[in-house]
Amino acid sequence: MKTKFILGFSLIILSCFLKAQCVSDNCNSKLGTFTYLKTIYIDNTKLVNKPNMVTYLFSKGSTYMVLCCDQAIKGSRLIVNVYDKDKNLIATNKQKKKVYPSIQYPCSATGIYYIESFYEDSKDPCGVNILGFTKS
Amino acid sequence: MKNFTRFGIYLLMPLFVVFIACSGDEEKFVEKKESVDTLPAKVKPDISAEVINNIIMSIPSPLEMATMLKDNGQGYDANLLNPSTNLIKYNTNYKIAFNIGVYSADLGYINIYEKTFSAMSYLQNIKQLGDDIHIGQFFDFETLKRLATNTKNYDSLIFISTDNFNKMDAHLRTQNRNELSVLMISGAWLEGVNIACQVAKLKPNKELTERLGFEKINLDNILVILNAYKNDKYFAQIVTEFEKLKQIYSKIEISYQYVEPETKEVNGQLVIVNKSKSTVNITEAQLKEIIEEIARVRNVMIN
Repeated sequence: MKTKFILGFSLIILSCFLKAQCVSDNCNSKLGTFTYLKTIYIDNTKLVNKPNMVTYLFSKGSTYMVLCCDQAIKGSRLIVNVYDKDKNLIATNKQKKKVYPSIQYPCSATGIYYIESFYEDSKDPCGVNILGFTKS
Repeated sequence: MKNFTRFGIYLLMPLFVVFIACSGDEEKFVEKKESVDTLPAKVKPDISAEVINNIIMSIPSPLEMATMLKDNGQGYDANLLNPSTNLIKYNTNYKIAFNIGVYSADLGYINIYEKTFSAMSYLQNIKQLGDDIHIGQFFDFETLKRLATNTKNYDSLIFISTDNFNKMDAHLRTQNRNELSVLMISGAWLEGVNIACQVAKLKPNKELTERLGFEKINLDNILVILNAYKNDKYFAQIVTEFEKLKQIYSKIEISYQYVEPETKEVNGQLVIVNKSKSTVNITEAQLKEIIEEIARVRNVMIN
């Protein structure tokens, strides 16, 4: 009885730890020469009916990078779409069957952009988007 | 009975440990006892927290403006910063939050120009003000101090400074202290724009002038979130100050033309080829008015 209890308890602790560690801590290093701006946390519990959506003002003359830091498992990749203020699709990291881990966007029109994130298909999604910039 | 008690301990102890283990590094927000400007219960924002959060997220980091200035060949000028000696003037939660934003923008400017010898007093100020409103635990002063004294670590210094600012802001919002977060973001924006304005005053150029014209978008958004709390006296005062700026900006026109973008792969990376255009019509006289008004508002807010 005691052994089963300790085993169950350990599993709870482990799952809690694993959930917090599903994304590599140094994912931001993939920004390379881009300067870190923000981490976009994705509330996975709210992704069932609608994707995560945030806005950011992109300025012309700068190139932005949206990094997708996920578990890199086929079928649970993080998809990111970027729309302009009128909701025209500007960029997506899913091209046909390939999912890219990032998007680089040299901005030619200053304005508010929508960054939409969701998972391909996953029962236990986990990830964040990281936004960086550099001068074009 | 003994077995029952032991069973109870076995049941509760793991729950307690799980609670501690899963709670991460979030700490309880303790209300500042002497706060004279804590929002009265009846003053609630008149827009949803989701809208406020989204606007806060949309305001660009002052690092972008500082980077543009540096890349345009503008030199570093410590006189453009809010003097670190102004710290003693910030004695209420609202003034503290606003000026954490101001000093953070100054720190960003210092870091971009790699003038780490200037960074120390600003790091200390942000840490002290952060402690005053119980978000200092998210500002890793010791690491930043170490990085500031090692001149090879600019990238890490910029990353950790920005990350710490974002964490302080996020913590305030998770603790339903969005009004302080709104002030921090507004302070950072105002300081970043003021630095750019002062540079434009001495050495105007087309890119900088246009950039300041496009700040109309950020000002409109900031006014939305400031207005949400305007039933409070302090917020009402800021809104009044910012509204004068809005009147000047209302004459500036921004246009946008969408053109369908293309995509290409460069060295395995997905790059968007964007052909959309945006333009801003801003005259020399309007720029002069903006520079003067920004300086006036900033002077009111930091003193």
